[in-house]
Parts: sequence; C-alpha cells; structure tokens
Amino acid sequence: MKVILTLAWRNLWRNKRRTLITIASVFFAVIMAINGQSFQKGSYELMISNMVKMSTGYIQIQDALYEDEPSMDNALLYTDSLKEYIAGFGNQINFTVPRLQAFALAATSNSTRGVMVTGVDPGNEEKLNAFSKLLVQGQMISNTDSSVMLASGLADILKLKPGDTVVMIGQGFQGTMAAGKFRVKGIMKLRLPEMNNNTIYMSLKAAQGFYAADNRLTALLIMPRDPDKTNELAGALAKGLDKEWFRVVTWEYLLKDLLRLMEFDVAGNLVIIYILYVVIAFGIFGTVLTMMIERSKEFGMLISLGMKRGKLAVVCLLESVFISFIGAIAGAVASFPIVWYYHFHPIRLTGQMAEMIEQYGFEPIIPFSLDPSNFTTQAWIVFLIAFVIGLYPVFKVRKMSIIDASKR
Amino acid sequence: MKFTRIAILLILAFTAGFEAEAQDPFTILKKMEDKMKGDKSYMEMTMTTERPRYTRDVSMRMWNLGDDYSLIFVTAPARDKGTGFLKRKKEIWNYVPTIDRMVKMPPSMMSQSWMGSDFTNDDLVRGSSTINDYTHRMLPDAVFDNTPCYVLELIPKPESAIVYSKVIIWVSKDKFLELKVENYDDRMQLANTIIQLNIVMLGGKELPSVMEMVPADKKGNKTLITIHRIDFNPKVDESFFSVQNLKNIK
Amino acid sequence: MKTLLIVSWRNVWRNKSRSITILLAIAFGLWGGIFSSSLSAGMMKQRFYNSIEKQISHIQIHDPRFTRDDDIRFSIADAPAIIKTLRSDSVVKTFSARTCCNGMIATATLTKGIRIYGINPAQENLTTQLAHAVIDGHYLSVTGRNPVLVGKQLADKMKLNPGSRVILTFTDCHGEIISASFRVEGILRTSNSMLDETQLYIRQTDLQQLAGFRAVNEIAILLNNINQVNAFADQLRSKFEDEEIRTWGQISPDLLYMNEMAGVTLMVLMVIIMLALAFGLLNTMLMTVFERTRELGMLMAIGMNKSKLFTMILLETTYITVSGSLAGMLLSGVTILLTSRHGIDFSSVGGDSLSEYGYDAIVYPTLYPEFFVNIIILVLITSFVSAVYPALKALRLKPSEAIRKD
Repeated sequence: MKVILTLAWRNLWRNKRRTLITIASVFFAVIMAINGQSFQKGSYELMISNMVKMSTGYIQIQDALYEDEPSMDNALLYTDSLKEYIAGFGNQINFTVPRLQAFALAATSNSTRGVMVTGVDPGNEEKLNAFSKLLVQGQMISNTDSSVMLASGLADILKLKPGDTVVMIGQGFQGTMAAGKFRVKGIMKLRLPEMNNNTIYMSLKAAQGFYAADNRLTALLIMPRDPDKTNELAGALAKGLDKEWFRVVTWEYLLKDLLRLMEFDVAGNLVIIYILYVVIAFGIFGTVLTMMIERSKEFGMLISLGMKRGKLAVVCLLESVFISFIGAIAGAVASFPIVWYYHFHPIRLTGQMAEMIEQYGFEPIIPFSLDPSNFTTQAWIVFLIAFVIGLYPVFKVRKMSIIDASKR
Repeated sequence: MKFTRIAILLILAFTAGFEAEAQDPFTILKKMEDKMKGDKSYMEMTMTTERPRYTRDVSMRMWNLGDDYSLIFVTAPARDKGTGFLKRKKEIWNYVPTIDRMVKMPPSMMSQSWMGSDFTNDDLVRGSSTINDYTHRMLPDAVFDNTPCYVLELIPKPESAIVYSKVIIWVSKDKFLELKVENYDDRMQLANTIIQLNIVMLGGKELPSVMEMVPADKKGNKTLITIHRIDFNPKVDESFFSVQNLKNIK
Repeated sequence: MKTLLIVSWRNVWRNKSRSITILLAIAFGLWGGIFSSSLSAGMMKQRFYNSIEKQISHIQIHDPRFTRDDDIRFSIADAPAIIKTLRSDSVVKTFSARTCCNGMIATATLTKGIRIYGINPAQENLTTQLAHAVIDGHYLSVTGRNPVLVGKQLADKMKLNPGSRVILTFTDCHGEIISASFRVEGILRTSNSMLDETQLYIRQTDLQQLAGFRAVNEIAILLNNINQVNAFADQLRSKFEDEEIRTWGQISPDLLYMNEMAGVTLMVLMVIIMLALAFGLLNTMLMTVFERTRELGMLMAIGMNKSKLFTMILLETTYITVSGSLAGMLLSGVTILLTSRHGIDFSSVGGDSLSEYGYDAIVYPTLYPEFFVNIIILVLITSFVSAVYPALKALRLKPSEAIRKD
C-alpha cells in the first residue's frame, strides 16, 4: 500500500504543471462555491436582522392569551420575579425591550381618530433600531415623560405639532376607562405608510398609567447576544415560565409572512447554486479528462510493463484524491481572507438603490456570512464532485486496451 | 352578545299586565311592538362582567326614549364615575369627566367593546329588530323556572341584518314576562342564552330584576344586569338627550 | 490557407475524446450561464408577481384624503376621466376600479373591524387573479344575493364556511351606519395572511347600492411593461393633479427593499457562475495545450513554420469553441423551451409551505437577449485567451525540447 501511495504522490509532482492546473480547477471551484454561499447567506441574514430590529425582536415573551386575543386584558405582569428570572440569563441576553401596545381614540377639537398607542422605553428602543433617527420635529420623549410623540402621517391628519395637546380615550385594563390629555413633544416619520398614519408613542410609564395597567406589558422583546442561538435561548426561557401565563415566541413565528416570501428566494438561490455545481463539475471534468487522455500512453506503457490494472486504477484514484483534497483545502483557506474582508467591510451599494434602502432606514450594504459551515460544506461538496469525476479515469484504466494506448 | 336582545327583552317585559288571551305569535309580538315605540323609562342598574381572570361591576343610571334616544351616566366604580354616553339615533357620544371632553365615536371604534363588557358600541347604536324582520311560529308550550310558558320560534328573514339564524323565546303565560331567549347562529348551534330571573315590583310592575347573558362557547364569560329601580314616567323629552345635557348630568 | 482550414478541422476530430471533452465543457458552461440567468430572471418576475402584482398592482390611484382616512365619501372625483384614459392607452394592461370603506363583520359570536372592497369580479380577476386565491367555495358570482369572499385567517377566527351568514356594517354616503346580511361564497388564501384577516370582497354593485352612491375609491392599474411604471405614473400625475397617484414602490417600500435585495443577490450569484465558467474553461484549455507540447514540437521539427502552427491552433480553438457554443446554445434553448412552458416547481426545493400559502412557486425561465450575447462573448473571449497563451508558450520552445516534454 505504501508503495502505491508513494507512487501516486510522486506521479503528481513529476508533472508539476499538469497537477497544478488540475488542482487549480478544484481550487477555483471551491472559492466560487464558498463565496457564493457566504454572499447569499450574508444577504439573507442581513434581511432577517433588519426586519427583526425594526419590529419584532428575536424573541418575545407575551401573555399566554395574547396571541388569540390581543387586548389589554391579556397583558403580562412584569413582576420583579420575572425580571430576576430573565436577569438570570444575562450572559446570553444582550438587552430587553419592554412594550405596551393597544388601541385608543385620539381626539382634537375638530377630529377623532382611532390610533395605535405604543408605550416604550426610549433607551432600549434606541438600542434596538436607532429609534431617535426617525425624529423629524420636536424632541424625543424620555422614559419618565408624560408627553407623547406622533407619527408624522397622524400629525398631519390631526393637524398637530409639538406643543399642541391631544386627548386620548381608550379601554383600559379589565374594562376601566382610559382617558388623558397629552402634550405633543415630537413628531417621528415611520417607514411604513400604514404605521405612519396611526401610531402614537409614549413612555412605558405613561402608557401603563393611561391604561390602568401598572407593571404590565403586551410584549417583552429579548435580543440575544448570539442570534444564531435564538431557538435555544427561547427554549431555555420557556422552560422556567408557567405556560398558563406566559408564551415565548421567536422571530420565525412572528415574521412568518416575511419568511415565506424569503423561502422562495432561498429555494431559487439553491437552484442557482446547483447550476454552479454543474458548471464547476464540467470545468473539473474537462481538466481531468484532458489530462487522462494525454496520459493514456503513459498508462499503456505501465500496463505493458507488468503493472496490474487494478493497482494502476488505485494509483489514479489516489492521485484524484490528493488533487481534490489539496485543491479543496487550498480553496477554503484562500476564501477565508476574502469572506473575512467582506464580512467586516460589506459590499456597499450605490446609486438609486442605495438611496432607496437608506430612505427605508437601513444601511445599503451586503455583508458576507462568516459562518464556518459555509466553508466546510462547500469544500466538502466540491471535493466530492472532484472525487467522483476522478473516478472516471479509474474506470477507463481498467478497460484500456494497451495497443490503442500505445498508438497515441 | 347583542344589545338588541336586551332592548327587546326589557321592553317585552314592560308588557306585564297585557291580556292573556292572544295565542298567535304575530298578535303577541305586534302588541309588544306597539308598546315598544314611544316608551320612556329611567333605570338604575349594575352591570357585572364576569371573565375567567376577573369580575367587574359597573353601576349606572339610564334614561331611554323609545328606540332612538338613550343617555347613560356611570356612577361606579370610582375611576369611571361621571362617564357619560349619549345615543342619538345612530350616533354615540362619550363624555369623559377626567379630561372634561366630549367625543363622538368614529366608525372605526364601533366594533370595540363597550365598557369592557360583552357588548360592542355598535350594539348600543343598533336599533332593536321588529317583528317584520322575522317569520314566527308557535312551538309546544314548555315550563321554565317552574312557570308555564308559550314558546315562540323566530326566524330572521334573509334580508334582515340580524346575526342569528334562529331565536327561541319563552314567555310566561300568566304575566307575559320573557323568561328565556335562546339565540342560534347560522349553523343552528346555540350562540348565547339570556335568562331573566328574580321577579320583583319595579316601577309599579312585576318584572324580573336580574338578566343573565351567557355565551355558549366562551367558558367563564357571563354578563349580568341587575336592575335596582325603574321609573316608567320620567320627565324627559327629546331635548333632554343632548350633548350639553350629557355634561351636566350628575 | 485552405489547407490549414482543412487540417485544423481534421485535427480537431482526430482527437475525438479530447475535442469532445472541451466541447462538453464549453457547452455545459454556456448552458449553466444561460440557464441560470434565465432562471434568475424568471425568479425575479415570479417573485414580483407574487408579492407585488397580485396584491397592489403597479399603480394605485386614490383621493388624497382617502389614504389618510378611509371614509367611503372620499372618492376619486376624476374617476370617469381616468378610466377613459386607461382604456385608451395601450401601455395599460388592465385595471380594477374599486369601492372601499372600513366596516365591521359580525356573526352570532364575534364582531371584527375589517375593510370592505366592492369589486367588479371580472375586472378584479384580470388585475389580481383573485379567483385563483379561492380555496373553498366559489369566486364571486354575478347572480345570487349579497355574496362575500373572506380570507382564510378571518374565516378561521370567525368560524366561517361557504354558506355562512354574516352581517356587514359600514357608513353610507350620508355618514349613516347601515348593516346588511351577506352570505360567504368563497374563502381566499393569498400570500399575505394579514390581508386575509382584514380584507373582504363583495360585489361593487352591492356596495354602491347599499352605500347610496356610485363611488370609486381606488383604481389599481397593471401595465404591460413594468419598466414604464414610473413614466406612466408621472403622466397620470400631470393629467390628474388632484388625485394621489402612487407606484407600488411608494405604497410598499418594504416590498421594494426586499425586491431590490433579491435582485442584487441573484446578480452576484450570476457573476460567480460566470467566473466559475471562465476558470473551468481556462483550466480545460490550458491542460489541452500543454498536453500538446510534444505534438507541437514534432510538427515544428518536421518543418511547419511557427506562424502557421499558431494559426492552426487558433483555428482548432475556433472550431471547437464555435461547436461547443452551438451545442451549448442548443442545449440551453431546449431546456428553456421545455421548462418555460410548465415552469419549474420550486416547492420541491423549498418545501410545500410555499404553495400552501397562496404562493405561486412555479418559475418560468425567461431569456433576455442581452444576457445571451454577454455570456457568449464571455465564453469566446475566455476560450481564446486560455488557448492562445499556452500556445504561444509552447511555440517559443525549441523543437528538440518540445519533443522531449512529457
């Protein structure tokens, strides 16, 4: 066996150029595959991350009944013991964002309109999605404020500006009447037109007071330190919470519609990557085959000198293994700096598209994903492709006619 | 839960003292409908909303003029005291004392619950249905709460805007009090049941003082209305039911 | 010259295996490039169709007050004139003029706020394929009393089936609240479950009759060519200044964002495929020519002059490349033709959930001439460069060295 190994190895280096060209075909293939995958994953992850930050957070804790009946009555009680419990996961949680959200009626002297009131902790909202960037007039509310901020569409409809007063009436916790007069402190421009026409922000404390819902939240958003471990964290959190009272959901559930849309893209990109494999395969195939054709004289000679076909086949196989292996590893290693660079210095989009994305509140970038599985999976796949292709010469060797070979 | 049911029931209840002879459903209901129009009343009552997680009592005073005008003034609990609702035909106005504001309910609020109860704002506004909205027939007599009753089956006509597909009413034979109503949805399954109990003297008539509404599918949910006092001849006319008056009621 | 042509041609087919190998590499590389670009184009189209065209069309027109406060009274005053313009402009594929308002739906057990759309069933189906979204019952028929279509989410919440009776309540043209009974004729499922829960459809004639006036609150327009959306919108704006005319991107910036991102991702993947194609070809060609060093040396030794030899190599490369390209184009043409008729069903790749949720997961590869030309040029350039360079190197050798090369 050792002899065969040595033979195979020496064969490779006997004709450096040929070997290097073949290795290069595998090498480039791996680089293409890894970069393709990293890019695609990177853009997918970015989209999810943007959507998560904009609205739902990665994990939400809600009252058990809130999903079926999203009313103020089904708002969870944010007790000290709950706070402590969550603090216990401090090393896995980056920060939390508490919210109290419900319907109300906003009235000015000449119009009345249904609105969505969102009680927030401005500091934490800021951590989530740079909340303050949306401010277009007036000032941000603080977390002890009793003033409110209006979405710009709503402000236009009600004809209000900072300094004006708006009256709000709603249904509070367990049926009590919620009513209050609030001063408008700021105006924010929200990204989605539907939200921009009916949202009012107030501090969490003010909202809880308004709805007579002390210490209550409709949702507690949790942002993990490692988003990839979201499901584990959600499971761990759910374990210690009474299912009668609490429910833990993740972004995969909250962003269902969005994910379905993206599934289509993922499926499509997968098909494209399969096509990439086909192209790669033929590239390697072309290289390997041409090489084998040119070597057929060499093989013919070896066989007529007495080498068993079987052994020769094994030698060919080993050569193929070595080449594929070296090519794959070299490709993976070479890809690393490229992926690393584009992960931390993402591709910057420019022009009209960039403008549009910025207007929407996101950075116009596409980062590469640094997930190690990209490297290993792709390297493996290409290795396998190369290997399978390398089997072809093995078969040819077995069937080869010495005479035809020597004729070349 | 439909407020129309209360309207019909309360007013059907006023027909105590009606002669006991007529047995065809149309006549019975026609006479009740004649009584329904132009009636005025003043009531003091408590509405109890029961839910799996809590129970809430709201006490109020209510003035009615026929089907088109109502004024409600909340007297308890403390946080809601002074809140007023005014219904004029199809509009609802809401007065909130803590902010001293009168607000007209916009259409978008109509499907919201009223005072946290099983009723919606729309229920308050919606007029009661008339006998012409149904076809009716007599079912065999039955006994309910130890009282012999006429049993009437009412089926809403296709064009009428009634959510139920069948209504069964138990009317006591002696006093012509509506003791029980069963409302069925369009799959002919029971949607809710309304029972009237505790017959006492109210405003000079024998009437049930407790009305209980139980939805068939929500466990633990119930609404009770307990009437403490009725005056069938309050000194009110159309001008009483004004936005200005809503503020001044004490 | 003629001799060279013939000799080169014969050379090519003398080494059948080698030539066929290269041919296949070129053909499949070309196929990969063309097919994937057609697939991407088809994907983007399908995606756009599913997420945008079926829901919000290309352009929507409202009275400016309506987008703020959806009261049925804020109707499009210029509606008749607009409709006339749309009918006569060939840029417009189809449009749907709707009457809409907010209201409530009530059953015996539940009341919910919803938006009521009064549609012309035939027009609506042409514009948004609404009939295809019906999963139970039927689409709105022209006969029958007060039929309504509800989304699956809503039907589930309110326990509705085809035949269920519901009461719809809304404000009429005098601001008065009116109610009427409706019968559920069909249940819909679109790719937007939120809309399925908050929107329902009745016949425009029914709504207009109940509301007491012939209002049109919304006109949704579908153009024949998506690229003309902005231009046409501008045209409409200058003609009908009082109305609010928005393109799909303005109505749904989040969908615009996602669409653009999907496009960019596909584009980059295409580039990667192109690079893979180029490298694959390069390697194959390099290998070929280097392997021929001995053969070339032999030819030089027997007296063939270098420039003729070089020309011969070029010609051989041309023949193979052209043959390969033709084969590749043929292959691409056939596969695209086959798949574009029935499309490729992505649900097998992405799972059943795609089609379950009202998503048309079938992609029809679409070929754009520009891609085609670009890819062929790429293939030709790559083949030549990768053949020429090593050929030059080989020719620089002395014949005696070349012969001895292994």
